[in-house]
Amino acid sequence: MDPIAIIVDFVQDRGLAGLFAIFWYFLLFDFLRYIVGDGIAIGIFLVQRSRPQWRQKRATARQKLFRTTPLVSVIAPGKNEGKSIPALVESLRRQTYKNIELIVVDDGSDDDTPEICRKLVREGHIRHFFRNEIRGGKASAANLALRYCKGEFVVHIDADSHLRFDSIEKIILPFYLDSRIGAVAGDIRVANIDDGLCPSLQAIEYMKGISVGRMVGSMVGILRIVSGAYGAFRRDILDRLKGWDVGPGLDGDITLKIRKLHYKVHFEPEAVCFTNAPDSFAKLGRQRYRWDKSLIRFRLRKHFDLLLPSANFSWPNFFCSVENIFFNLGLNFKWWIYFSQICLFYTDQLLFILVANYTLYFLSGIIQFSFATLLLRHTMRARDMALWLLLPLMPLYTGSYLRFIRTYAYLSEIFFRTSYLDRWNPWKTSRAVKDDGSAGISPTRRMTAR
Amino acid sequence: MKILSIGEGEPLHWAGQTVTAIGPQALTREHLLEAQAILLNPSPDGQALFGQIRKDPDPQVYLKPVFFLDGGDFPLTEELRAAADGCASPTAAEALWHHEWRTLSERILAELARIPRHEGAKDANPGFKALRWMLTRRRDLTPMATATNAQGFIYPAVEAFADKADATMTEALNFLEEQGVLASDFVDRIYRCAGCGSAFLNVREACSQCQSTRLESDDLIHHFRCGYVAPLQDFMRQGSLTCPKCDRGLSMIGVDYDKPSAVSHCLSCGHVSQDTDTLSTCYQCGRSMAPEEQKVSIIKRFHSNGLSQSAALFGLESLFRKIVESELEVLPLPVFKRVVQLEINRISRYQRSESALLLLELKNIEQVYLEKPARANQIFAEIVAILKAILRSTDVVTTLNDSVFVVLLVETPEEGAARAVERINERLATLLDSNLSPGVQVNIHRAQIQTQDDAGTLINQLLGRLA
Repeated sequence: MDPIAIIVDFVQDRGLAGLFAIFWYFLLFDFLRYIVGDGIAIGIFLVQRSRPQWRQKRATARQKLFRTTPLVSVIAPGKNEGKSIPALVESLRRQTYKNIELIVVDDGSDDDTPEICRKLVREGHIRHFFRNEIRGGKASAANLALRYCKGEFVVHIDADSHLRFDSIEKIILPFYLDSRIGAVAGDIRVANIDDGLCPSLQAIEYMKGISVGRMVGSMVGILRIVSGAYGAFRRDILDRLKGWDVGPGLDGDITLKIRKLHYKVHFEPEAVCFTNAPDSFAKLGRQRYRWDKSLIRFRLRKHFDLLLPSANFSWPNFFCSVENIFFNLGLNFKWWIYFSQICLFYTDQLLFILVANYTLYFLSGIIQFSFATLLLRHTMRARDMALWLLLPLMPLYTGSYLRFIRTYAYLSEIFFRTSYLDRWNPWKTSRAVKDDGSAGISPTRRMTAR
Repeated sequence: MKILSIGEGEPLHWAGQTVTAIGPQALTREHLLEAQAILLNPSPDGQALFGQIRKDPDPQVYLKPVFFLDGGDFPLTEELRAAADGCASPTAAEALWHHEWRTLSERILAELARIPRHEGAKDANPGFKALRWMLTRRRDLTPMATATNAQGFIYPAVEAFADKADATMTEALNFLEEQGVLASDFVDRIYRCAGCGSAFLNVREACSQCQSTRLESDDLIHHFRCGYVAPLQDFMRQGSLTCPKCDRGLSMIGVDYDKPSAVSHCLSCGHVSQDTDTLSTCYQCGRSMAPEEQKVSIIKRFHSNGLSQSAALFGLESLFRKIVESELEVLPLPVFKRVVQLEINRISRYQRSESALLLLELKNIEQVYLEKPARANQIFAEIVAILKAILRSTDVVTTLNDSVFVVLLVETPEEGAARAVERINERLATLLDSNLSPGVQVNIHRAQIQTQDDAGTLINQLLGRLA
């Protein structure tokens, strides 16, 4: 039969109400949120940044930045990342902004990281190098670096990342545009897209989800995470919070704590950082399994108070949590209900509906990637354009592969608290946090606005 | 057995043994030669006398058994106790003599008797004296740690053979080992100043930035519960550990906190680092150096081997002569005389050319062993290299002894011979003056070969000019 005829018959048979009953999931959430909402936000963003007033304000802020040239402490905690440190050092050396100190913390490496870093210290490329013979975890390594950094701003970066030449300047600039900004998230791009299908799919996901999604969240005032891979913070705020709490999900956790202090969290799409993404689906699965559990552990448990009326309540923080919980946790389980509904009530048309959904998500992906390309056109690499060819795979990647991992992660964390058993953290810290039931600041200590 | 007791005080009366007492002022060389064992008191005079006895170049004096009578107002140092052949209080000495010291002395004297006696023989080389001491005592040379010598250790038994309290004896013993006359066992390793060789170094951490030694080290505390990391002092609150971040008390290391590392803080420049430089400063010369710049030496225990006894009895084989014979064409004396005679005959027959004879004497060449035992090989090689550079392939050399050489310069008129003498003098003087203190003399005598000369007579005439 003619496919067009099949489609026409289907639409005529169902009518608008019938079509909505079948495709409500896509129409209500994905289409509205990621097509309409993001499209409007991107449009506003681009218009705003093209206005002379904005350009003038940015130029003035840049002048002030380069006149005052505050020290920026770049902290890079990691384990067994020694081979990547020289690339990071080189990318910092090439920065347009020069007043930088680099602090590297070796958290229990068992390779030649100490030798590499000590050589770089002798050459003057690393200001401080600290080595913990026994691993303490990402949080403790970052906190050690924080204790000895002297900068007015602190940039946290993964040790296996490197930066675009103007990235430090771009990530610090927002602090000079708005004094209420407490943290700035940089734009994370996948560095190793040449390593295969898996990192390439992640590159598309990052551009759509991180670059566009966080830009929208920042504009609306509900940005919920400054990624640990690349983020900048005001030093005084970090000192006030006494650094990071035990993870996983420590980057989202500290972002929420900054928000609770009523500081803004901003996303800067021109502050580009390249990081290595997992190069196999098995590694990727383990990473996402760890990341997804943090929603339950931090947003639902530790920072549940954001949803409650309290002395710290604020509508932006409320919507920030609601948006995250709803779209990630709520809709994830809702999808399973939707899928069950389709299977139960539209069995004879199941294949057609799945194909139609797949097509809708594919077309939606093209639009979303177009938004990303438009937003990031000044900083995209030539080889990023080849990612268009992989868009047909994205519905499978995000809609099936990542969804299964996410669902498993939520359930295991809700019922079994498996994040406390994650080997990403040393058991000594996970056990201490698990025994306590929470991590971070004592419940008796109240967080007050400045 | 003739025992000589030197010192002021009451004479000793030992049963069955005569002890001749004499004051230090009345002591003569004949007394020392005649005595078969010597008793000294530990007074400064007695200790000085011990040094004089050991420094005497006559083996019949310096190898005599010497015992100290300990006690009283002048306690003996550990070094002297180890250096003497025995040490005891005056009350215990008599019993010891009869039980041990007499037997020991007899054995020493028996070995001493084996050493050939040469009229006016002088043992100046401290290494050679040590070799003979080992022969007579049948003992190894064991190092002893000490603060009295800059190298940090001495060989107390033979240290008195050296003129100065420095590394001379150690270098002499190492030289003997290189020559295959002694063997050694590893005892320890020592790090010494790169400049003066002193073992007394002040080793401490220094700031990697400004090299200041004003450093404070802090242990870091990692609180498991909240991930907070800070120096120990940040956690101290009223005598106990409390986390400044979450206000929880820290109970037990390994349970709720640990100490992942320590950080050094420079009080001079403020630099913070886990890595500090290690700086060594020499107490003797004040030089500062990194550990890798220090000299490393091996402290050894020396013991005899198969060659030791013959070397001790009959002397060290001439090293200098060995080098000369290996680098230059050295003819045995009879052959050399024959060659000279042939040259005389040739000149007489053809009346067309001149040749010259040189007599080269390196007086006091053994001073090289005394002053630079570790570099003796090198200095001798440089002397020979100078001769080799100036002499031609047609010139012929013979040696009369360790320090006297005769050279036939064929086809060399008087001016040429004078020029060769001048060059040899100049270059040897430069070499010897820059390496040794004045003492080694270069004496060169020359004679032109006359047609009526006889080879043997000519050479004897040259020898007659030696001082």
